Order: sequence, then C-alpha cells, then structure tokens
Amino acid sequence: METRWSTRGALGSSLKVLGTSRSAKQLQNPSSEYLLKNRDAWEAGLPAHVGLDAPKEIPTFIAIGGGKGGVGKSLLSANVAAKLGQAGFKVLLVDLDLGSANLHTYFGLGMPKKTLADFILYNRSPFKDILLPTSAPGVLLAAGGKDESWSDTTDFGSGAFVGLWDAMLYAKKNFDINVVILDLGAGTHRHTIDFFCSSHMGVITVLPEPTSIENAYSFLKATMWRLIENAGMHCNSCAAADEIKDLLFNPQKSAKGGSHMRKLKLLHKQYPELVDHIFYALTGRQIGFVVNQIRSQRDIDIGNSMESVSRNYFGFLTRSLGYMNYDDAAWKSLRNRRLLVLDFPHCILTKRMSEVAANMLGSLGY
Amino acid sequence: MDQQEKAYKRSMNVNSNEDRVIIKDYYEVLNVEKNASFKEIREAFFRLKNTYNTNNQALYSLLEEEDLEESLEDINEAYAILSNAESRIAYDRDLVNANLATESQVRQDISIGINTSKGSIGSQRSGGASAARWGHDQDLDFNFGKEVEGAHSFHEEVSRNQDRRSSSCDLNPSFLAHPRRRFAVSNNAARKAIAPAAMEADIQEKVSQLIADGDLGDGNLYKRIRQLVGVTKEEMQDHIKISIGYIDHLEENRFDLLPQPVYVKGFLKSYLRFLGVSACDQLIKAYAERLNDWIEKKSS
Repeated sequence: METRWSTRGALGSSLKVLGTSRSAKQLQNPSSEYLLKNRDAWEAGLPAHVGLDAPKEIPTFIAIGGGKGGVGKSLLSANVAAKLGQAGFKVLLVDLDLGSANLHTYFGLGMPKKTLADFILYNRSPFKDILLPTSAPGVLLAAGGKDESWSDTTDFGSGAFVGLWDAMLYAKKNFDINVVILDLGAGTHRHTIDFFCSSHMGVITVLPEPTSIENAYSFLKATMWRLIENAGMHCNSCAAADEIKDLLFNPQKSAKGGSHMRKLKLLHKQYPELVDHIFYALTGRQIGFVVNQIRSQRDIDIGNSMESVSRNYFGFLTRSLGYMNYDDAAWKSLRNRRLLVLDFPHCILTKRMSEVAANMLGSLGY
Repeated sequence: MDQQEKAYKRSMNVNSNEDRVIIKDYYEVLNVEKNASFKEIREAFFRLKNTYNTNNQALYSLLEEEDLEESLEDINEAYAILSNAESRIAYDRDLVNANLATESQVRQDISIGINTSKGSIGSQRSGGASAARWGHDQDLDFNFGKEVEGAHSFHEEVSRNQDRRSSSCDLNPSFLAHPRRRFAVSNNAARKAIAPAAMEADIQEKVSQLIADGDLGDGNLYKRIRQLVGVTKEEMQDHIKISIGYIDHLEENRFDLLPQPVYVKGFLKSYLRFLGVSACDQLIKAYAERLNDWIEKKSS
C-alpha cells in the first residue's frame, strides 16, 4: 500500500500561498492531480447515497470531526476556511452539527433566516439561497438551522442527505466552489460518520486529554466500521462485510490482541476480493490529526504519535496536520463576535491555522 | 545464542497449517522503505520506541498492555535485524527469495561490508539487542548514509571502530602509550572513570598500605597517593575539573585558601575517586574535621 508522502514540494508552495494573501489572485483554477488520480479509490468507500452520479469536477471535501464535544472543531473549521479563502480558494463551509449548530456565531452572524434545515427538512429553499456570504473573503456558509427543527426529526436516515450531497458535489460546477469544509458534530452518529467517510480528508481534532483521545479512537473505529460496510456494498457482498466487521469488532469473536490492520490481513485469505477493496478504499481518503490547546512539546507529540499509531492500527493514510496553541485569542475573538483570524491576524493561533491549512493543501496535492 | 540470531530465528517461524516459512516484514514494522539507510532505520526505531511507550497518552484506550508489549517486541526485533549489516543482508536475501521484495528494492551497497563486518560487529554486542547498538551506529551510518567509495574504507571504519571500543573499555597497554589520550572521555562509563593505573592490583595494594599507615586528614597523604598512581596535577585538573590552585591548596593543607567545607568535600570526593580510592569517606571526614577545627579556631 502506498503510504509515502510525496507532497513536500507542494506543501512548501502552499505555505507560500498562505503567507501572502495577495498571491491568491494568481490562483485561478486550483486543482490537485493527487485527487484526480485517487478519485476511484475515493469512490470505492462512499456510502450508497453519495456520489452515485457525481459530476466529473467535484470540490475537495474536508470533514472536521473528532468525537468529543468542545475540542475546537468549529473553531478550526471556521478559521481554516477563512485561511483557505485568503489563499484564493472558494470555500463552502457547511455546519453539520445538526441540533447545536453555531458556526455562524464564529463569524459574528445571528441565526440566519435560511438554513440547512430549510433545504434538507422542509424542502422550501434551493441550495443557492442558504449559502451566506461571510466576513471572510471567499468563504460561503451554509448554517445549520435552529435546534428545534432538527429535534423534530429524531432519526434521519441516510436518505435525508441525498439532496445535500448532490448539491455539494455540484457546487464546483454551479458555484465554482473548490473546497467544501464540513463541520461535524460531536458523537459518532451515523450521519456524522457518513460525512467523515465520504470526505477526501477527515480531520480529527483532539485535546491532549485521555477523554478526547479515547473518543477520537472510537470515532476512527466507527469510521472503519462504516468503510467496511460501504466496501461490502460496493462488492455486492454485504454478508461477508458483516462477517468481517464481526470478526474485527466483536471482542468475543475477534482474536485477542493485534490491530485491525493485522486482522484484516489475516482475513485476506478468506475474503480476498472484499479485503482488497477495503484496502483500496482506505487509500482513497486521508485522516489528519490536529491537537488543540497545546501547552508543551509533549502535547504536540500526541498528534505525531496518533498519526503513526492509527496508521499501523487501522491502515488509514494518516497525517499530523499541526497543532493549536492554548491561546486567549480564541475566547476573546468569540466574545468580540469576530472571526479569530480576522480579529487577531498576528496571534500565534492564527499562524497555527495557516500551518494547518497549508498542511491540508499539501497533503491533498495542491 | 546471540540476541540477534534469536530474533532472526523467530522471524522465520514456520506456520504449522501451511508448512511454509512466513517472513515478517521488518521494514513495514519500522515503517521505512526497503532501501532505507541505517540512519533512517535508527530514527524510525527511536520514533516508534517513543510512540509505543506505556506512558504515551496518545495510546490511551486503543492498545492493551499486551498489544503494546508485542508491538515493542516487534520493533526491537526489527531493529536488531535491520541495524546490523550482516543480518540485514541475510534478511534481505530471504525477502528476495520469498518473493516479498525484488533485488532492486533492497539496498545494494550494504554488501560492501559483509566480509569485514563478520565477527566484528556481531561478536562485540552484549546485553539487550536494542541497547547494545548505540555506540556503533554512528559509524555505520557514516558508512551507509553517504555513498561508500569502496570496501577498503568500510574495513578501515570497522577496524577503527573496534580499536576505539576496546581502547575505552579494556585499557590495553598500547593505548596507554599515548599520554594525551590517556584519560579520553568517550562514553558514559568513562565520565566517572578512574585513572587507569589505579586499577592495577599492585598499585591498589600500595595505596591501601599508604592509607593504613598515613594520617587520614592530611593533604600530603593525598599527594603521595596521586604520585603513586602517577597522575600529574594537570591531568587531575583536566579530568575532575578542579583548578590546579585548589589541588595545591588541598595537598598543602592551606585551609585559609580553600573554599567552604561543603565544596572542599566535593573536591576531595572526585579527587579520591579518580585515584581509585573506593573507601574515601573516612578520608574526607577526617579532612573536613580538620578544616572545621581550623575555622572554629579562627573565628574564636
């Protein structure tokens, strides 16, 4: 399996891009050969309701999750989106923290009149109407909608998001959007994991705390689970996929000890086609780690450790994307009702956001 | 059996079901390319060793202790094989034979060292497979990291290596013939080293005789021990990092020119240790008593 990163050159150039917002204008039509090459692998792990008739040109999807609440998912999404916007990308930021959506607050906006709820639940606004311009140049926001509207529908199946996926996949064609950033909610709900699985890059935000790390791993396990299910569906062998999931995740049945990766390799003899497909799907998406609220080098190292451990354990293409310092600017900008990178453009946290954004671009081959 | 050999045998465990030899991919364990340099391998090893540490928070809830131990064992095993030129070549050959790698994938220039390293690197290692290699690696890296020009240079490197090792540990006579390098500090062991002559049995006997006969709290006694062991003041200064002035004052009992007693005790300790006086506490105590008496007398 190809796990080498040959994007260092690209990384350098994207850093340069992010360093000066003026050069953004030169960035007319950014595209990534890496993503084009891996399009098939990406599609191999998609759930049934995503990308069935995707257009040739699609935006890059970056999902930001992490299992635990309050780890900085929305902070990261909003600010990285702004940084990418400054670099010349046209970014669509989608607030998928359904039920407790508050991404608009990070931009200092009140609850918008038209939101995702109107588009998904009530079918009363076209997608175009729910895209709000924000204070950050180049960033459009699809706000999450009032909490009540989501709690009406206790269990939305995958079917509820077919329309949203279609709209997002066509966003490049219709609105010239390059990057879609999905801000996911806490927990490992089915739809959250679906969005994470379907992205080109899933970013896990962690705090250097055991609770957060535990949730991050359970989030990854859920992702793996879903990927196997999706792969089974693609191979028309759902029964085999169920068996594999059982052998991998059921503590009574699974062999004691050993990583998922090792167990999968052992299962290759039994289900060669399906396991090959799972590995193929794993190469089509990347998992990034960002450690938030770091106070020391040890905290930074957690990101690097998680990168290598989960690469070996799950077989994901992992990447430590950077870290965010523990900084007062975070809460100050929130109280000022302004976006962090615009309110404190020279603070350390803004710099870290640039680094994370640049690393994302670098590993996605831009 | 050699650690490394053991690890190698373990890697070739036979699968009873298929009756076929299965080779673990150590390059995958260390997450390096098959043609990685020795430096890369060592760096990967350190990184993984730190990652799969029981204290590492980042592993919380993912790995059980058993898994952790197993991973560490794999990592150590992989490093034991891959960090050594000889075993790595043998392992690479097995990989190629088992069709797990092609000739072009594995590193070719290691073969330069195969004849010269035989018996020298392998036989020198002692202790745990992981711990034994630090001293050597740098030199090996030097060889493989850059492109090696020829077998000759490797040979030289290995033999130089051997020299250095034996010299710092065994203190062979030819080495002592170079006065400058006599007390060369080359590793941790040497940092708290003892003057080489002090280890010789007859000198040790003479020193203990001297101590038994002499006045324990007298600087002159120390001077005589130093002269017996054959250490000059300059060498002493270089080694224990105490200036010649203080050494003089210590030996001449010039209490008025010595610093506070607590420092004097420290000086004496390193002074006597360097001279191989193991039971130095009595001497220090006696000297300190005398010094304290002098201070009291002066103040009254």
